[in-house]
Amino acid sequence: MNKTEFIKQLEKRLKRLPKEDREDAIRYYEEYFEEMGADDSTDVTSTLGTPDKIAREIIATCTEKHMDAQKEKGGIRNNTTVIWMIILGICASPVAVPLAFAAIICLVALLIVVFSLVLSIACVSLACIACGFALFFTTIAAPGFAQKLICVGGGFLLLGIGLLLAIATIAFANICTHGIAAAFKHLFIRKKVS
Amino acid sequence: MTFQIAAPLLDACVLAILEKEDAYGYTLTAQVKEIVDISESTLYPVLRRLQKDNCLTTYDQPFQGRNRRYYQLTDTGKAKLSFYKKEWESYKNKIDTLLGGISYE
Repeated sequence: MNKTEFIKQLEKRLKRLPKEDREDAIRYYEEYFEEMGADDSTDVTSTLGTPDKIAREIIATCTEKHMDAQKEKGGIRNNTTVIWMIILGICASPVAVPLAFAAIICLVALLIVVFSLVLSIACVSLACIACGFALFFTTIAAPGFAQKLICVGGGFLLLGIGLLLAIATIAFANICTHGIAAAFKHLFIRKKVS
Repeated sequence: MTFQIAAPLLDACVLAILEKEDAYGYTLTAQVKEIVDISESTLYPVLRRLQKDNCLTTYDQPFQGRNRRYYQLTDTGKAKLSFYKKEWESYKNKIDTLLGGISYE
């Protein structure tokens, strides 16, 4: 990577830093390349390291600086600059990719759990309804009047429970799918920003 | 190099070099590199931190149609350096006593 590309990459990674900090860093490295006598064919990463590594160091120092400054002002509450820097630090660090991967895995796992939960409740609900109907048919075979009444009553009871469960399942599934969809959206939108 | 250099010691080295004369990034790195094994990119965050702690100030001086940014020790920086020197002296003596069998008492 030559110096022009290096500076471009570094600038991109420091985009969210306060202007003053970014410009100072860029200025320092531009001067450094001049002093090195690097021309367009010189590979600067072999002496300096990758822009990624350098950006990480700069972001870390910068975050520290701003946190200290904020502490002097009293509290780091509500400081978007510091929060941005921390997010930036995480995104610049080598853990960012595995972290995003882990988040996606977690969401998929959640999806599976919700799906199985919905499926099992739906099964119970269907079973209740089926048993309810079955009980109605048993009424014919039931020996006495009281027995017949129990069968009919039991059938209605099971039907009622089954229907209630079905309604609950649909509502639950709705809430969960919306929630998970929102979570996915959030994850990918944030990824775009970084 | 067997021994790793810790951040305060690196700060002390930078301050000590700047005590002699003001320097710009490239020569400063070269001078530190002569003594300790650091990478070329180590110094910028160090300089930035020392600047934040008011130990250093910078000024620009024209050189061949561009500017060199020189780093200069402030009074805070001088005080910090003398503190580091004292700390180093006592630390060095303790290690020497242990390793070299030299007693300073």
